[in-house]
Amino acid sequence: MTSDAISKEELDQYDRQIRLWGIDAQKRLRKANVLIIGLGGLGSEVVKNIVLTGVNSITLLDWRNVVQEDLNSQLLITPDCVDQNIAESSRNRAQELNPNVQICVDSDHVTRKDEKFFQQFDVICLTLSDEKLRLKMNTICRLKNIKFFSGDVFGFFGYFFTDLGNIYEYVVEVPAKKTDHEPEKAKVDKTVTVKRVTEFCTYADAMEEDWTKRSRKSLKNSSSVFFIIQIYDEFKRNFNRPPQDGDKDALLEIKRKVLSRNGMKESFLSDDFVDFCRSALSPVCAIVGGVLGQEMIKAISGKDQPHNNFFFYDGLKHLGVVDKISP
Amino acid sequence: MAGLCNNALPETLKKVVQEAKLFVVGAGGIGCELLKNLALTGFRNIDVIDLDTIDVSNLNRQFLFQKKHVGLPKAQVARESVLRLCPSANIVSRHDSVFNPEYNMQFFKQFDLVLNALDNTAARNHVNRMCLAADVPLVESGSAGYLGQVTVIKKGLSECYECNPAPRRKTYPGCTIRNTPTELIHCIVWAKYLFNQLFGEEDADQDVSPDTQDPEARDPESGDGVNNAESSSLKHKPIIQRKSTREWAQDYDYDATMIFNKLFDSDINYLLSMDKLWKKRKPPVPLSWQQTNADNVESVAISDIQDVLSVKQNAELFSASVASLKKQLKGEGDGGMLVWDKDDTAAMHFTSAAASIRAKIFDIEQKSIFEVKSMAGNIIPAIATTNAVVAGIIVMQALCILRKKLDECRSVFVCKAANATKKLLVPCLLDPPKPGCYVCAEKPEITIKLDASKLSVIELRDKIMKSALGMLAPDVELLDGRATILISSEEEDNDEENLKKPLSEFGIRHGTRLRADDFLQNYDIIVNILHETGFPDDSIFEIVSKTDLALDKIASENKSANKAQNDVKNEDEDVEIVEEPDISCTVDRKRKHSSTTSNSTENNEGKRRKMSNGAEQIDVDCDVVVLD
Ligand SMILES: [Zn+2]
Repeated sequence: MTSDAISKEELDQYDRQIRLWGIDAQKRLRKANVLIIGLGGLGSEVVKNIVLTGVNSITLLDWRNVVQEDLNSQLLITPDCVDQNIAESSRNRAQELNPNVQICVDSDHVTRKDEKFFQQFDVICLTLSDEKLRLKMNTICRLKNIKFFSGDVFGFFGYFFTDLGNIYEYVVEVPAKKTDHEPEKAKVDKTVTVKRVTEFCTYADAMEEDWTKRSRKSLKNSSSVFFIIQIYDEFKRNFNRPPQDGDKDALLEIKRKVLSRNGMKESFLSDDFVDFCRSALSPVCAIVGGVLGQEMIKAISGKDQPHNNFFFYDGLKHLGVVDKISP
Repeated sequence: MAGLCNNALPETLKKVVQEAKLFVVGAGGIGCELLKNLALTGFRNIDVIDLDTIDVSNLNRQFLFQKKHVGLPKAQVARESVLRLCPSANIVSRHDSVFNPEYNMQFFKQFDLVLNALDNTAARNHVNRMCLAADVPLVESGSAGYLGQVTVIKKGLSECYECNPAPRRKTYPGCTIRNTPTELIHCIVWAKYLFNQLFGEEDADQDVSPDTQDPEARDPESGDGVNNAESSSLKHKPIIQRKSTREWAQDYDYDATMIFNKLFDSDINYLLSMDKLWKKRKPPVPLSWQQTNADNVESVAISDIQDVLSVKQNAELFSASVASLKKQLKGEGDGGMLVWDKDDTAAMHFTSAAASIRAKIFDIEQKSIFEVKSMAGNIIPAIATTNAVVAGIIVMQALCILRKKLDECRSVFVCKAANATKKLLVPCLLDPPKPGCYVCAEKPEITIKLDASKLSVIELRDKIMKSALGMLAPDVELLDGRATILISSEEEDNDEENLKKPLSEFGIRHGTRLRADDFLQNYDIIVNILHETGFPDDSIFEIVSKTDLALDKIASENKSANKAQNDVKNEDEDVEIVEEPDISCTVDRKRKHSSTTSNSTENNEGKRRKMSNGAEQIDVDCDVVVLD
């Protein structure tokens, strides 16, 4: 992996994606070192998407042991892994996906890791987290100039958050302007590369947004999944477990609290959600993990406009929304 | 046991999911992701079919396959790979074509749902018809680069796949290819024809020599291109006249220098002699082997396939690839032939070299082997992430159907950037079936313009019934009160001689009605013939309408009324705002915009384009689609 030139074998293997994002993006990808924290359904989808593209290394960090429920959404493990460490259990399948990528495994608890550990990565993706951990990891990433993503899936719903730093530069390809004296033959598929800049805010800042200031039109296009995250977080804080059958009243009670705290009407989030926001549903992990994986690829390659700064998926409405939530 | 206790599913769905029987058509990019999602979600009865074997270029996204599986059947390896995830699943793999008559209406009826993960229009059309015939809901899908689409097809309730006919194949007039190329793609098409003429199956429609019948080359006085050309320059007669290119090449034992000089020197000189062609065009500049300073070499070292090669390099690449293909052809034995394949290095080098040299001669910008391969192979870029999203959406639609909430199913578009209403995955209401659809209407009917005195029975069968209308084995009879049989689906019942005769010999004229029927697809259609002469370019017929145009109008009005109630309407308000000059996004906005005006044709085209973009085997126009 030291040579800068892309080998014939790599060209063959990555042919279909190089045709999409170009050779320069591929060269950046093969130098990147990525950390995935949390190897649930969503984490495993992201691992698959990132390993397939051919990054330099990926580190799988999770202290948990596999439980029965993981088998409904985690694509890197098999039923005989139950009761074994889930990061370790994912290693072989991850390696099979692409022998060119170095797979590292760490079964430590994320809170036991120091800043030096995180410093070795270009991108960190945090899943299965609570708000406290999100805030902490975001702070470390800001400090160390690491691109930060965090996301989760609750049943039919999912989301992820992105912070690529205060100032993020990227390039886009735009159609070249046609000049009159250019010969006719030049009219096809000419593009030029231009530089763009955008700003991201931190997760802590995003939580400061005053939703009552949103216009009616903006609210109409906003996703209620943002509040499902908070309800889910609060439920787990209160009960120390994800919601199950019979938790309907408790969830609705938290819903009322969360919405009124944000100055939102109760009708903004329909009560139906309670039957559909339990453990991770595989197709939702695939959808959120697909969009999230692509955003990580964008962030590594510095190519194309990133989704700034939240993505929400609502599986009852079949709707995927990108929204900028900032103070 | 995984799945039995999938708590992500509401109680009402657990049992349904576990017992549902699914047919997955395709185990490629979307198929691999889909099978994984289905098994994890708890589906236990899955049949998967795919005709393909695994190629190394699949490995960047078709994650159920590894390098050691290259060459093995996709369906089988995908099954084994998913069984590791979920040993309790009951998966049947079929390394077979879905067109096989074994998969008849009875076969389709055994499934609760059919999920398409296909890459070509012909198979999509066929599965569409089989699902309509068996009345099984179908989830249809496609992806191309960052874009994707999923939709639900339910007989009588939503549009079928063929309610919006696919844009016809992008074809280039023969004389542009043979005489007056202006774009690199013309030279690439020419080079692929040349491959077939020299090494593959010869096809009369794929001639590569100068076309003396080019209407533009004709002298208005004599009206005869050949005379005109010959009288103006007799010394440049083409070297061969009666012999086929293949025979000629064989006579010289595929001598690369000889072939080079014929194609790029004498044939070009002959073209120059058709002087009418060059009155308003820049004339080509002939190039002989000697001028290139190239050596006849056995092989060429290409340091970077992303470089544009020099004339000398291309000439040497031409020579080396001719030598290599000659060897391959010999290996096939007497009467053997090669099949053009973008993944065959020699075939691709030959195509790129020949196209580049021809481009140089016509002063057309050349491109690298890498880019020529994209164009020649109609390669649509494909990535794991888009396929993962599309496959996820397929399962979400499937769950919605199984919850018996068909009204909550959506046609979902996967976009590259969010639109002005923040939507990245855009759900749209399912459109009702088109009353005039020539496939899903109660009594399908179609009107076709053709020249009955020229179009033969075999052309009616192959180019119209099979190719344009997607039938596999049509029976065609005249609605003349006697049900005269014109074409039988049983090959041996057809008289060879009769097949070659024009339709007029069987009493087919303006206003004649035919009945065509495909037994396997359980599909029956009335064809109204309009006799007309003088078709432009190479076309021989034209599909005018699907039944009554008035019906289409009503349908489009209904549609816009429907749309008004839909969330799509919101997007229209902001349609003028284009914050990012992103190519794919512009197309998307255009589509959205048109879908809310009553311009149904444009709307349908937009939708269809996206779908057909997912086809790896579809035509050269895919590039054009994104750009226009
Ligand atoms: Zn239809």
